[in-house]
Amino acid sequence: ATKAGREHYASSNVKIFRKLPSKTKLKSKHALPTTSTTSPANVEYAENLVKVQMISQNLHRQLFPQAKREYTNAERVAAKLYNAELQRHGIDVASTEPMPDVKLKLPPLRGKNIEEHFYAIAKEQVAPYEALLQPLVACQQLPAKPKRWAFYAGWTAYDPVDGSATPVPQPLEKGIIFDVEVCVSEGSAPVLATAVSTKRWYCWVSPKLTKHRLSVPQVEPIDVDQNERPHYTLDELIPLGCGEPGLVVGHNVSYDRARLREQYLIEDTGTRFVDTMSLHMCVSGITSYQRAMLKSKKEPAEEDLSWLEQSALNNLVDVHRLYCGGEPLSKEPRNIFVEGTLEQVRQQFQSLVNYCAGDVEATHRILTKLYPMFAARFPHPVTLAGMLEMGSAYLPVNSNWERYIRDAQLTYEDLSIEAKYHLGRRAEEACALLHDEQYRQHLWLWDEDWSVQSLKLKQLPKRKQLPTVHLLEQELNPEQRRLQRKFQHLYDQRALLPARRPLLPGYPQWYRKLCRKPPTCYTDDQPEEANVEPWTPGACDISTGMQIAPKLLSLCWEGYPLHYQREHGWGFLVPFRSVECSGNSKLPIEQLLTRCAIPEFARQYAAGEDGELAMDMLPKQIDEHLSKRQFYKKISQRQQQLEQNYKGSGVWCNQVLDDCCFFLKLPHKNGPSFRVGNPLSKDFLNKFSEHALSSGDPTCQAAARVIEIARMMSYWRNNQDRILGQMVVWLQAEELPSELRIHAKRMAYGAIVPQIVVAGTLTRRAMESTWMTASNSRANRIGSELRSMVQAPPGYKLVGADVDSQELWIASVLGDAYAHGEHGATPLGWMTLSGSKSNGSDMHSITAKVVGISRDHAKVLNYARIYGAGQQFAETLLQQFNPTLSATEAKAKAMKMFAATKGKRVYRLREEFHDEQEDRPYSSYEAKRLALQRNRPVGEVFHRPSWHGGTESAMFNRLEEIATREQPETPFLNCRLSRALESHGESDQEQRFLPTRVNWVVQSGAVDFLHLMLVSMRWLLGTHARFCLSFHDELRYLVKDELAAKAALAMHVTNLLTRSFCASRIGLTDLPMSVAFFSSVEVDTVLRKECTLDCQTPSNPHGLQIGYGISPGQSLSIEDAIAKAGGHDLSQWPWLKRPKELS
Amino acid sequence: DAATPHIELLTHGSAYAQQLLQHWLNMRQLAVNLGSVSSNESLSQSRFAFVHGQQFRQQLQQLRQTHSSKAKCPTLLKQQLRCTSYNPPYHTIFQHAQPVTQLITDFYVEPHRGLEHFYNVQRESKIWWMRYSSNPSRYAIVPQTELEQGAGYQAIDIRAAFGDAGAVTVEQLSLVPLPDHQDFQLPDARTGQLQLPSVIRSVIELETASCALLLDGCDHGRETRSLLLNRLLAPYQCAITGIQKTEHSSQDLRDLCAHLVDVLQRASLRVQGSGYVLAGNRHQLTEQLELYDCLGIPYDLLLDEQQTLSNGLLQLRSRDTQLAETVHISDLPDYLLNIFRNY
Repeated sequence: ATKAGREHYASSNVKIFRKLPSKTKLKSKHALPTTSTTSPANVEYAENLVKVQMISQNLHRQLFPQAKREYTNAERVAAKLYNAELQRHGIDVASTEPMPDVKLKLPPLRGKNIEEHFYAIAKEQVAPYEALLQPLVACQQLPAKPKRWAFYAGWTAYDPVDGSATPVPQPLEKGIIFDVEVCVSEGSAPVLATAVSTKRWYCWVSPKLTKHRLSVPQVEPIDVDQNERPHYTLDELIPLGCGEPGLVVGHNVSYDRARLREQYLIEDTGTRFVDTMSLHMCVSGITSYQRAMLKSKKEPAEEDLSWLEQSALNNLVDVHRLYCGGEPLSKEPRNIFVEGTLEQVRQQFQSLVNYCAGDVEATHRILTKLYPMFAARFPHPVTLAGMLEMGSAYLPVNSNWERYIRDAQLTYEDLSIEAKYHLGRRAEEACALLHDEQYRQHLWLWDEDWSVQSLKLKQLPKRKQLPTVHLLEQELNPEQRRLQRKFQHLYDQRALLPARRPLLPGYPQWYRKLCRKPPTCYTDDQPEEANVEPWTPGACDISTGMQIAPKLLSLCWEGYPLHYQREHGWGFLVPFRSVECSGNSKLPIEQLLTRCAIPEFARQYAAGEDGELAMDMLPKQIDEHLSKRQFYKKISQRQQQLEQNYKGSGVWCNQVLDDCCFFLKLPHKNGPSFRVGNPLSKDFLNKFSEHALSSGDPTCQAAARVIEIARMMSYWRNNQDRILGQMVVWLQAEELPSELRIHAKRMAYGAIVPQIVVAGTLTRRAMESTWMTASNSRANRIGSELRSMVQAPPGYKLVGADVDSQELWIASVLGDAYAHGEHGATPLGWMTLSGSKSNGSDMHSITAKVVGISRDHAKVLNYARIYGAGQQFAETLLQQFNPTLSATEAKAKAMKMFAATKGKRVYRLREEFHDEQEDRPYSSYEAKRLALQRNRPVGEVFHRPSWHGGTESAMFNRLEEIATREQPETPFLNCRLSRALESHGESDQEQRFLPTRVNWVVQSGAVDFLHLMLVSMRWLLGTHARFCLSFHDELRYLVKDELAAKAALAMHVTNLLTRSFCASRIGLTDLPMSVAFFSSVEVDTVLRKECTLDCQTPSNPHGLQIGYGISPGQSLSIEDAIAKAGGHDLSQWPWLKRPKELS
Repeated sequence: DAATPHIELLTHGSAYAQQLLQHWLNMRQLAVNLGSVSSNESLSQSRFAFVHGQQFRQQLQQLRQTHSSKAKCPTLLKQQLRCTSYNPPYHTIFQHAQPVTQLITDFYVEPHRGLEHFYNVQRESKIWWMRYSSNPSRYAIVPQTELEQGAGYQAIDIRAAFGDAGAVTVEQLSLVPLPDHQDFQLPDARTGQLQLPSVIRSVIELETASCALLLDGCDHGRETRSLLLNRLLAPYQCAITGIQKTEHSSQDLRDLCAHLVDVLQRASLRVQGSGYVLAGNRHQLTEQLELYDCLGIPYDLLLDEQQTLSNGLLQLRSRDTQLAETVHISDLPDYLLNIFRNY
């Protein structure tokens, strides 16, 4: 970028940046015609009172036509104050570099301003669906249900008057309430479904159910191994037809949607889904704590009664009870679908269809009650439009999906065999310690069970002949026969062997536990059942999950050997006394001392120890529920001293073993009261690299490798069930667009319809268990290339972007607008907008500097704090990042961070007390004392406390102001908080869920943001883009190749429009340039975080490019997008030109 | 290369190599085995040049003539090549004296799925080596990108690493598109359409690989001097030792030993050398066991004159655990057969 020249105007105290005439081609293209009297380049540039560069003039004119970019004197005076505050926090407002201006011609806005525009376009987008939904909501009496259901394959319509059944290709009405049933034992395909419109009932029956003889023609798919994995085609699914918009209402409707035929076609059919479960979450959603309360059978506490009446769990029965009351729904017949066979479904067809239809009726009753509440509480049409769009997610896949699963499974198996092999070898090697009881000196294996069994023969029965063991004599030569006969009596003693033969007599008990009983005889052929593993000698039942594994690998924590205690879980041994004093200890203290010298802090303990006295000084029991302060008071000074002198991260648990060493627990990520069950689990694997955890045996290379393997396997182990369970529907050639058919010879194409609950949480964020939680690909995680297996078919591209620090911007802009009405006027706001990672002026770098931690860790802490986490949580996080940090150090760091960011909590007197007391900020301690003196609650003497002096104080004040209202609403779309969390003016309720509500303001605001983007994209691209997926702050669309660049530009413009709308809603009539556009929009063929990511993992060792032949995508800045999309004039895009005719 | 030592297998080593050969033949059983030929064709430096050689053309011809039903794509050919002149692979810590035996497997695969098959074969092969090793983590797939010549060509080595000492290449895998010539076309197994397959060639140098596996058996970091040979590959699977009551050997003990040697041999278990050894005292026994450990014999049956001759109980001592378990004579040979089952 070119550096800007800078000059002062005589009449103004505002510095003006002027850009030097640009030499690059791109910018000269953007230069305006020289109509202005000033030099041509600087007319576009603008900055505000804190020198934040604002959007170019041409954009401002189009987006905020009524707003003037002028400041009053009063505003300038105020600016001096907040500029000084910025300076106090170390911010140099002049330190930024200007960005190039952007020139765009947007299609004309609907209405007077950006707010009216979004209302108008959303209204237009939902209109066809509202037209279908309203009659269903208004319908008081559904058509009569038929008495008898016809057992016909496919759809059948029932006459509402005489109940007569007529086969139909699909329901005749476009608005239906719908429910699908699946026979779980037969796979994921539907077996029957019922639907009702305002006119009549429908029932769909799978051909699999009616015509067991008729076989659905099987077409052998390419590359898809049918034997191993279920294989679904469109024929098994339920048709709804396509063409005009349709609307389907259901409870958890995404499950039903995944069984609809047209949903898998590449072209969107215009059908949309209303999920009563999501509506319920919006209106009456609950926190995880509340969910646990609802699930528990305990008598509720009094403070919980009010919200308990207002909410329910998400299942149909509970939701129905909440909104409709009456007789509870019966879910009894459902068991047949869960556990039964197709034959059982056939036999009970009538009652099962009635059950299914009963659910449809219940869903309808819920809808009639719930939808009006939803409409009142979520008044903006963008909310419904966004939810409808979210519910149409679509993930295209191809044969690579099956290959991915195969590769991941095989890699996983290979590695688990390898890990098992290493452990088995270590176990074999350890066996030799049995000789001369060498195990007694082994630091890890001394407390294993080394007892040995022997094989003894029973007494020879007197006067009784032993049965003869029959030995074959054919084909033996005379000498062989002679020897065999000579020793026949030895064979005969087989009868004296014990009936239950001991396993491996002569081997230690712990080893025997790892082995299996051998087969009693030998047969030539392999075992009949293919899935039964053949018997192998040695420790075959061994895995990293077993208690013996860390011991076999001789693991150490901070250099001390690991030790397991049932009561405390895994910990380690720290010696404090030398060998002379200790008597008959089983513990190999001598070896322990050879390895680890007595640490200084423990030496003091042993020196000062005086018989039993020392034991008394250690408190018998430390109550884990005590707060830290009480805890410190209670324990003895000596113990406290010990703990202070110990610098490591082990957890004291008041355990002394054999009067010669301490047992300290390993630190658990959830806090000191938890016990660590497996030091080779996911959470500890990272510690291994930090050298807190290591192998104490330098010759044991296996330990490092086993840990490495365990780390590689953890992702796939935790996710494989969900991934394997994805329902992929494969498309036959004739079901593909004609251009794609030629490719279908070599590659199978299909799709996954992700089962998204569009408003799945209290904050209305969407939920889905596989894709929304998918981690990015990591080099050491098997299967973590998951997302890149969503691949656009040839001729298509996936276009999308990540909203840069979306929630941070939302939080900070709320603070900016509230405190000073100017973008970037608070320290947090300024850092968000103009801070940069490169010169260390962004928020995460600054926190990192203040606390003295890495930027990545600071980022986690910052988000945790903004989401409402307290100081305590920050301490835990800090210790998790750095296990060697002591509790005191962590506390100090957390305090420092909170003082610098959130600031101090101050109380101001209510006006009526101004005569008695000085009107100044009071601390919470002072406030409580003063209130106590007056014998009144703090709230009556003081106003609600506010935050002061930190970079984020303004933001927290704003968020708490919203969160503590009686009826909190999101600032952008006026979406109400769930009934279950509204305080109804009770102040204790207000405090109770405050962190949750603060978090809700930001996250629910982010959901508004996402819905706005979805609406904007639909307006800009119409039906030319298909929504694929959105998670967190990511958004992805499927578009045809030729429109990819336009879609990228549309994404950039969507960001501009959405942020302008949000700013406008909170009273700001401008937008900073730094957040106006995405930093980049990815145009790619696969779903991945960045288009250059090659996603190398253990299961994809060669990466996407070499291994799968997938080239990197493109990353387009706003300038690139304008250039590639054929210019900056969006109003010339054909489908936007004459919206009336085309829409 | 003067710096690279030449080594040669002796009797036990050759016996070991024969076991490896047998296991190679048993792997991928559906392959067409073209048997053993000797070659004077000097293999040039390039990994991929073999497709232009006479040998390769003949091999395809032989396939069409003798196994016409398998002359389609995908298919799999095996042959052993006795080479007198060849260039040993780079980056190796030793090489075997010539001539050497190359075990060659050629996979003919559909050209558009070449890469996928190539990766599968790599994985299979690596696992195969890992299963025979005392330390499976020793094996790595090392891409030979510098050898590759443009699209469609890929080359990797499977190497066994021996710490700082270096590595030995045990198998070379190359993916080569065939030259555009009618002779090379094969019908697709599914559609019957003629196409020009890609070839994945695996080359194992039997003697070198055997040496590498023997070295692998020594390099285990244990205190004992055991040679940890895989029990399936070990040339001798079981030894038999009689423990005498006194300094004088008895006929009965010798007969029992001979009988058990016979029992095991009849069950096709490989028993060491002359059959059995008698130990007159503890010291002799310890020495004997150490010798067996060094020879890599996984198990030793210990026959105690006092006990075994009276009740048939004997000890099965394992090289790997250094412990013995008690078994009964009537458990033999089934128990051992189960242990040595090739799964």
